[in-house]
Amino acid sequence: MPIDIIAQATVQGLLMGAIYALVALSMTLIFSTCGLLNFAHGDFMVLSMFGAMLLFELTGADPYLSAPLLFPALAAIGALTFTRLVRPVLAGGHLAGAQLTLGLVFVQQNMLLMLFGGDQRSVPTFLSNRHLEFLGVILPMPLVVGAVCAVALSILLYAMLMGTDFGRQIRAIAQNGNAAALMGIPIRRVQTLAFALGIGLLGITGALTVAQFSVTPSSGLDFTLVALIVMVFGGIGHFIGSLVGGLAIGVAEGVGSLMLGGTAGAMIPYLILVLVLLFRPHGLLGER
Amino acid sequence: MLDVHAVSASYGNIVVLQDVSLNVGTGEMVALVGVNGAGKTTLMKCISGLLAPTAGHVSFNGTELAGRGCEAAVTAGISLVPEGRMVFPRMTVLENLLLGASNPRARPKRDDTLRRVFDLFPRLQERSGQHARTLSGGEQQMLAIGRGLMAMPDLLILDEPSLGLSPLMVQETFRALKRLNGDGLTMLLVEQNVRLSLAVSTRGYVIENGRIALTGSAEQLADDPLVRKAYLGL
Repeated sequence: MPIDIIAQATVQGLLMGAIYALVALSMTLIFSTCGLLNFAHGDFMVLSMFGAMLLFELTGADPYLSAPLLFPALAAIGALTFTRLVRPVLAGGHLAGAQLTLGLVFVQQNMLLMLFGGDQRSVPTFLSNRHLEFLGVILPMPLVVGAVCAVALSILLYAMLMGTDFGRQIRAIAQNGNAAALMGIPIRRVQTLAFALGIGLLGITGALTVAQFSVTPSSGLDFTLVALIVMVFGGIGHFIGSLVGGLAIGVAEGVGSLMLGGTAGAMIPYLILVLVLLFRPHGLLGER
Repeated sequence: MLDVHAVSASYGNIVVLQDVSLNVGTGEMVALVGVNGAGKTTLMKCISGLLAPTAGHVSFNGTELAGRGCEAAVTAGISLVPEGRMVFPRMTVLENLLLGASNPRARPKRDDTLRRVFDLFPRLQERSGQHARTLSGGEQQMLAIGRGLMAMPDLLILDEPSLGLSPLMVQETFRALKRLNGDGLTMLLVEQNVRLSLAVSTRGYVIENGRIALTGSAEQLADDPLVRKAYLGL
């Protein structure tokens, strides 16, 4: 196989991987602070994509302009979801929480189906149909912008977690909830804010990537599954692990589909997941 | 200062505490001793807000705290150094200490408090950039105490500070506690090590099967035939 095609697939996979990583990071943020495995994670991203689509169809606003709007919108939806639904249900245990989010998946999917129908739609941005050529590799601009923004947001999130009081409180809750409570940390407030932040990040990600992915009501679960794989792959709760995991899964998927064709290639991330679970059950960088 | 009145607590159907009353006055160092499973840690959970008692009152400087959660207890001025230390393992010593000052009373003064904690435990300053899990057991205990002090408490509660430490480290820890009490900090010391805790305290309570079995001055308790036989092995 010619080297330039492999290079193309690798670079494209890396860019997709950067987006996967951000989705996985926001999932990790919610999982480790709130104890919720959020199966509706990708659906919140889809919600943001539909938001961007609606704004475009109603006002002609470019999705890149909608992104800053969709952050607070999704963050607010996240905060409400956590305080009204997730927290009361989580009191019944982790499994109840996960089941709730599965329910949310289907409620939202069917609501979107009713409102918008099941057709694939695409939303253009001013960068659609533009390409970046770099050392013989041709990359669609929307993907490049989505990936660059995803990396920037990941770095911001990391800086926040490591360098601010709020970030330290989030990590404290993730490492030992009872000890965090004994410090007088307002657990509920930090959890609500972390949940809102995680969903808000999906708001931005959805708007920034809407031009790259086709929009359908049912694509949420795909993002959720990839994020789950990345999270487990890198080691649950491990920030750098999620980042590396996202890039690795992106490349594996890209190069895999190139070598084996789309259908067989789509299996590769899941095969990798099985292998990681078999041989490194705590993830690549996770620790026991 | 701390007034625990007729507190009962249970986990599900298992009653762990029954009608427990205990008080700690300003400036005192009070010991609560008893064997494993007597209910010491459960009582500490009720005082610090981790567990809501099924009956009774926990009042601190006139504020009712029972069932109001940890935030209320910390803000009122109670800081618990928990059993097993419970430091944040994948955070640095400095980050652990800063987290101790999360309550709104302590937050603005945390740089000053940090200096005082480093004065008390110079070892923590040497290790301030290290992850807490890389510390020795004794250093982790220092960190847990230091973190508790960062909350600027009026009452510092220590749950089993001697657990798992070498004899030398136990002595060092208790020297630090005596020094803190000498500086005017009120303390409640919960221990299985009866001899040591009665030696540093002014008063004590003996808890057995979830009830207060005996109370008195430290000398009285140390001379009590029951305590001597059951706890001191004399």
